[in-house]
Amino acid sequence: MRCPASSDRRRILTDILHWAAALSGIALIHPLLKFTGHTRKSEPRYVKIAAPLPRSGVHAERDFFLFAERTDRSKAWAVSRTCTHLGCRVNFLEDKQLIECPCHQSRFTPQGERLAGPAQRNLPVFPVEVQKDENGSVTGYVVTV
Amino acid sequence: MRERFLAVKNWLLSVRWGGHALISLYISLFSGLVLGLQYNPAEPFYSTATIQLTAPFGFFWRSLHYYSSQVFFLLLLVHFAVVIWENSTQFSQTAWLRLSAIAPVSLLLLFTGYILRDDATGAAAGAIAENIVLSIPLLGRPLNKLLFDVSAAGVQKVYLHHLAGLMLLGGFCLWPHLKRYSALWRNHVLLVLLLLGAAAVLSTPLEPERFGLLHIGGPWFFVGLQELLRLLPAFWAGAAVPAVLTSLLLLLPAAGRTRQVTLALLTAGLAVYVILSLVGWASALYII
Repeated sequence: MRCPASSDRRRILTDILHWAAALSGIALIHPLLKFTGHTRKSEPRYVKIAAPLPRSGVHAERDFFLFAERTDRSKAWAVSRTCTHLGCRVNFLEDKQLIECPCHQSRFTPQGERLAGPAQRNLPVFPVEVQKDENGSVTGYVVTV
Repeated sequence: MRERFLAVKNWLLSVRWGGHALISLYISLFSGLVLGLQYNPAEPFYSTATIQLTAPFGFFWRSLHYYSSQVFFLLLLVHFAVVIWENSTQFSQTAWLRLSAIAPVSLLLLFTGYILRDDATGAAAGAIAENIVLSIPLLGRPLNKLLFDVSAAGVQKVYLHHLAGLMLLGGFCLWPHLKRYSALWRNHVLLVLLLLGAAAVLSTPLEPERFGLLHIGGPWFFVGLQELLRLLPAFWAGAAVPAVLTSLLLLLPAAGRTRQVTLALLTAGLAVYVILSLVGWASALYII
């Protein structure tokens, strides 16, 4: 027969062991989240698009739309294709001249301004550098993403 | 009328739903392993498309994985419904919590599978999942880094969880159940033949990105949530409501009046979800 004092000691030691294991588990959460939360900063990406743009004045890339005015191709701007609601890739509806998200139908102007739908913010705009030849004709566009 | 009801009830209780689900899961695991030999998470859509279009029998293996996984989940739901209805096994609260967690884990396995194909639907599903997790106060960012992070890491983390993380979690949930119950292949020959036949003749969805895409419909189990996301902020629609429904299942008491109330709430929640899904499908037809 085991004496009560020995049984109590065993129980206390087991409790300590359980608490130590639980605390170790909790203590590991911090380094785990710090490690997984680390983000490698990506370098800015330069996407070059050769002129001329299509007659519609819109060029679609995976991450952005490049627009240029029909009358003056040197006036260009790039709008992100990531919807500000939940991140779906938006599309440009040429007949309606607006950008629409296929997931929840948020709508934006070609300049990226929000018109309707569950998205609450405008689409981000990326810087565009217009490249010209010596005669001043537009030869291409460089978008910084 | 009562006799007919009793006949249906007896039939429902007599079918080996759990065994069917387990066999479907085994087929899904095996076909997933085969697909993994050709799938490349660095170029997810390209490798999915080549499996589907150019790899010998790629069409078959992809269909087998797709349909066995869907059938597994559906059979699991029926198994859950029958077990809850019958309520003959008195699980302890801890045992039920562990076992019933297989439902959300299986749903996440199906969902991550959709993301991995990285077509129009998959890419949108990944982006939506990431933004839903990010909308959770305080925990959103670290949780996203742990689970999805598709905007920074592509499908790498989703692939890891589909293959290992969720599988381990699912194994942990099921292990005591699997030690107690097993499934014999000879009892499920018809199911195996149906799955093989379906994989041989039915195609599997793959929707390439295309300019001017007007509508992306989520996977069938996601349509209700997609509709809810149109009406409510991402946190409430994507995190709070699913968390409440899941908690009702996971914390279902074994007996008593609280069990009845919890079941009534769960049934009402699922009924609303079905209605939202129907609205989602109807609005998709209108948009297209």
